[in-house]
Amino acid sequence: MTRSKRRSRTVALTASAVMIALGATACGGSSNNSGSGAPSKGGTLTILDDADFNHIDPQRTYTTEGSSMDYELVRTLTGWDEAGSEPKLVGDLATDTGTPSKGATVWTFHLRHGVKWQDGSEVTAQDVKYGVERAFSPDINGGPPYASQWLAGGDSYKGPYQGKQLPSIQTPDKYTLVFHLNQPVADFNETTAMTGWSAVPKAHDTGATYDTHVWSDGPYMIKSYTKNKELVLVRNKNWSQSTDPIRQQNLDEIDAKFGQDQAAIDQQIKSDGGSAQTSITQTPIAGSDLTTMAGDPSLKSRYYKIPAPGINYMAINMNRVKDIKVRQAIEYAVDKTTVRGAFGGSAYGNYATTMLAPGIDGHKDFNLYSSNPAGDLTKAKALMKQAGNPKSTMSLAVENIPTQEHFADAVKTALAKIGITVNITPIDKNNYFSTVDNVKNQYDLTWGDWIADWPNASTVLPTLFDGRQIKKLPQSNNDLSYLNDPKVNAQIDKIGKMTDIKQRNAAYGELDEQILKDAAVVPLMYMNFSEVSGSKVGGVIDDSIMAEPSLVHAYIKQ
Amino acid sequence: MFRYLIRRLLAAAVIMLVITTITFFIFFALPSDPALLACGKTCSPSRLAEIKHSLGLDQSSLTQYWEFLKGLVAGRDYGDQSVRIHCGAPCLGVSFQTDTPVLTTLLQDFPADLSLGLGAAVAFLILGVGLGTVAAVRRGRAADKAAVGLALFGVSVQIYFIGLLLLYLFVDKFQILPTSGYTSITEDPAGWFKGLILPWATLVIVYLAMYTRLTRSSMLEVFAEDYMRTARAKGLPAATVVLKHGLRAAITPIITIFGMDVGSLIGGSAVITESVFGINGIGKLAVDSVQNSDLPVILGTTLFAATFVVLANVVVDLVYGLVDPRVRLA
Amino acid sequence: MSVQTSPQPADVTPAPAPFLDVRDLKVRFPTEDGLVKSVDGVSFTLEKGSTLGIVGESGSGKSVTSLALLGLHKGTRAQVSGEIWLEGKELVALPEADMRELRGRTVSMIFQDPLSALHPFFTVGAQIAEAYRVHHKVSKKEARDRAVEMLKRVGIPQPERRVRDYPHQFSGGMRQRAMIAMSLVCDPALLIADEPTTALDVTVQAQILDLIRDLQEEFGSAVVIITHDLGVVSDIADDILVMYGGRRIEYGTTRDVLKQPQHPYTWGLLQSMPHLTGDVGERLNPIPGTPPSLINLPDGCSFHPRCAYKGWVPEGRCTVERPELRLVPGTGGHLAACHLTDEAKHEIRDGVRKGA
Repeated sequence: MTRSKRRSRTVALTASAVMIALGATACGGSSNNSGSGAPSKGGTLTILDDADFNHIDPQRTYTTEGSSMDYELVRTLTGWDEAGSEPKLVGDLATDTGTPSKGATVWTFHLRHGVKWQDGSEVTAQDVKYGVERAFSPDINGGPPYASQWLAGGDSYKGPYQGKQLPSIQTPDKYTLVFHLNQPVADFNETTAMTGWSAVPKAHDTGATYDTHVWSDGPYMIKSYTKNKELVLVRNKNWSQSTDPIRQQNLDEIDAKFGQDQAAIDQQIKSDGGSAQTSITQTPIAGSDLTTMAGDPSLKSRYYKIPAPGINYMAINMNRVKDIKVRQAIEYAVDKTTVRGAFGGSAYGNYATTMLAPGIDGHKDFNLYSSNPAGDLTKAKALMKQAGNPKSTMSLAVENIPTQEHFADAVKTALAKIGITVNITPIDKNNYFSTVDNVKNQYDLTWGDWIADWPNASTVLPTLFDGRQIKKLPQSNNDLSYLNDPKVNAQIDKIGKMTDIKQRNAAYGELDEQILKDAAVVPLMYMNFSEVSGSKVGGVIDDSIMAEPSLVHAYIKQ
Repeated sequence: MFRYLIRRLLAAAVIMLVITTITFFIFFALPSDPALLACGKTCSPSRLAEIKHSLGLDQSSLTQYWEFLKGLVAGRDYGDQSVRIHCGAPCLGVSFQTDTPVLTTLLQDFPADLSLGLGAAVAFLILGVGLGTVAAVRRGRAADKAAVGLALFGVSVQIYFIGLLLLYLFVDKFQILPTSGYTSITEDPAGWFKGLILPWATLVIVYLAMYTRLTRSSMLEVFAEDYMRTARAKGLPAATVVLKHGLRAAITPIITIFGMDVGSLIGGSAVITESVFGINGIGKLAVDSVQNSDLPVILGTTLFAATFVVLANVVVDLVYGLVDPRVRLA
Repeated sequence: MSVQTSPQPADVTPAPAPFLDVRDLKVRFPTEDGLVKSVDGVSFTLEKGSTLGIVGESGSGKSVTSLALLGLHKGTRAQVSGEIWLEGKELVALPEADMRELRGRTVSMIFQDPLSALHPFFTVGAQIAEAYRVHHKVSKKEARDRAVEMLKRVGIPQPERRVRDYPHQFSGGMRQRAMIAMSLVCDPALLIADEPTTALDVTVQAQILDLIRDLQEEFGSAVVIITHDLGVVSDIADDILVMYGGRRIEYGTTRDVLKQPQHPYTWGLLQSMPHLTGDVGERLNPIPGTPPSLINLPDGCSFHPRCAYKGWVPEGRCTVERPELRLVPGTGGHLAACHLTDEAKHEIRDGVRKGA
């Protein structure tokens, strides 16, 4: 999942200063956790976001906020039912989670009958095909790359707007879709839970401006959308509960308001007065706000700590830090307690020892380095000695925001103890990833974070460690470690072809361990995302796939 | 007078052109790449090239600049793929981010800035001039010290802090006012007013200081003028002496600064206030556009803000001509 | 002060109270450096229809005295004591509100430098009309007509048109005429003219002085002319009061003071006055030295540091003993404050004349 909106906030310090200065205490929600009890109908839920969604055109959405919003508006082929204790993949538009061919290169989905558009017409397989095809147009940019990567013939297809269709998506009848892939993809049906795999009616497609005209087949539809100001959703009368295994339609209206400062939003929801009682945030609480709010007992009933399928890490550039002893010494030397403190403390997440977070298929629990999160200086020093105590200076790229600069200081202090001088290179946060992802800009150490597109190692390890992308995607190389090991690359290909889930997961776990043996990266924290709502908001589900508060069951307590 | 105006406006147009040019080429000198941002993660070079083409970024910056200028005069048509967007003259371009003509967005956001800026300006002008006058009249006494102290407070606090504090007190804690934000005045005049009280108050607190001090010193200067003694010698009441004869003369230097402030406030300079109170105005738009490397919006907001500052300059000169009969506009 | 205050002939039957009677006026300004004694015990009288010239250098207290007559020190830090009787009313103790009623109506003032004394942002007509309206319940139109009438009266051509002009559009002489028009608009009983001609060139000066004299005859006002130039008052004033360092040093009828000046300072003033009839090449004799500090006046005669004749007084009395204001023998009311004996004065005056 894109990291573009997963930004820590710079202003939180000041905000807390206000709250602390005033001795602010919230009145506190009286009810218990909002998930319980029968939902009441009616009311307006307000979503407060500091900025508008980059996109909610389902084929362009690639942010967690935008996707979470889209799930109220559009239905995807498959989806995650998270009402239970574990997320469960179910058919959404499709009747089930799809049928792979032997070798998983052909996937077939059957659509439910009677799923209606907001104008009452039926959602067809052709609508889904058209929707998926849209993503190939350069006008419909910003979305995930999977369709063009995997659908056969996708590399030369330029979208449906010149009247051309993509032959690898077949619609033998109104309710059947067949996808022909150019490689085996065993978890393709998890990909199809992303918003891009949804239907768009050709007659209502407004192309590049579809963001504000998304045609609904979900429980809510757009009433009005003024970019950067407000999005208002109302009930879609043609949606029916009987065809939808995931969503409910409890609210009269969902009103997303954009543009208020995050600290002001936090302050409002925390105080829980007036309309704040029926509001919820989508941008995670960060920095010192996180520390104070996470520990506030009065917020407990409306505080959502959502474990994200994501990792906060520091990549070590293998091209530049060639001696494995030095890299291992860094692994031992980094003090994760001070690092986590910089990001907001224990509420931010648990210390990580692997690149695959718990909850991601393929996660294997292991720890190759210090058992103490504060590090092991003795080991680190010993490794440096073995390496011949090289005098070295290393650059560290971070975003130019206080949180990250504190993090950089923590690393600098830790590495100074083993004789490594760290030069911190702060980079404008808006251009951070476009800078460090460009192979022209390389650093010895690079901060990064990554959220899996679906909870599967296939959207983490290949993305972050397939060294072939360094050449192929010179401007958007995600392999910040510049690990380009033919054996790892071959292993990535091999696992991709595996169709046996258990075998596959185990192999990914091994791969994770292999990468850490190379000491290509220092995993720092498995991230949590924390959000708050007003006391009258009920039915919020911790969406650990999207790392957002899921609103599909949301209601207003009457 | 008319010829003067024409000349000033022509000069203003030249300034705007220069500002546009500088903004344009600074943007291309920066490392940000809007096509790469639009492309998203894992962007292949071929896809990047297509997006560059669809955004018009595959042309040389000079060509793009020329197209931009042509669009200003003649309008432009955008898009050859999914949708055609017509952007009528004066076309400031179409946002990379929202595919909306920039001018449309600017005009849509403008009422918020106008309400915020003008409302606050009227309030801090009246209050500042009032306080400054009281301070000058009661020079050295308690009222003077209180006014100067108050002004000092306003100048030393951060706008961000004041905004959050007011929000906390009036909206969150005591719930005297509704959650802030901008409501159109045509839609709901009462809501418009209530929503703007705190943003106005924030700007007033910050700007009041300068106007109080300025008025005070300007007033004291005027008090020493001979014509003030003449006014008293005529037997005019003290209030007439101060408010008519004194203020009329003392206000001229204030007009200059006031004009600049109003111009820049309306042009979107109250970014922090906009952000704290969730008023989506030009300032916020400008900041967001920089974050998104949205060149057309960056250009549009810069040009828009510059227009108001330059216009404010012209207006100030015209007002000067009205206020001070000795000033001849030529 | 026991000495007679009026220069008027004393043998006339006891007159009713004079129109203006200033008694022991003191004006002091507290400053960080000390108390500035701008006016220190000044007394004089003035009847309706007559003119008093107050003469002195800048800093002699003459302008401060005139402001006291208008009550313009009220509401400032200035400490005013003594008495100012005007038509039987005492002005020093008069409340500001009552004083304001008198300003512009009963007592009015022509300020020096009309360019700075007129408000640059209002038309001449508006400023005159305002002065009228503040004391008369009339419509704007009536006030405007009155302004035109006054402009005409002071000799401004095309008054209907010029009434709409701003002060900067007037010439220096016309501005002063306008200023006079403004001060006379309410027919004041007492007109104070503070250096009314200083800012003007010589020909215009004469015109303005003629104008003031004509208007005085017409309105029958009492006039106080304040000037540093004895020449200005020699034609127009009935009495002359010479001030130095905030005090009176010589006071008498114009004739007495000009013919028989008693004080070396007055001599100096007379010498520095260009005689219209005299030789063009005649050397002007400005008084050497600078005016005294009003915070620490010199002991004895405050003029002694600049006085060329203090040697004529034995035992350095001039530096230790302050000379009283004394009646000049053989005059009805000519007063002077100087230790020189009459004989010494005669000798010096003769010498000066010869030397000149």
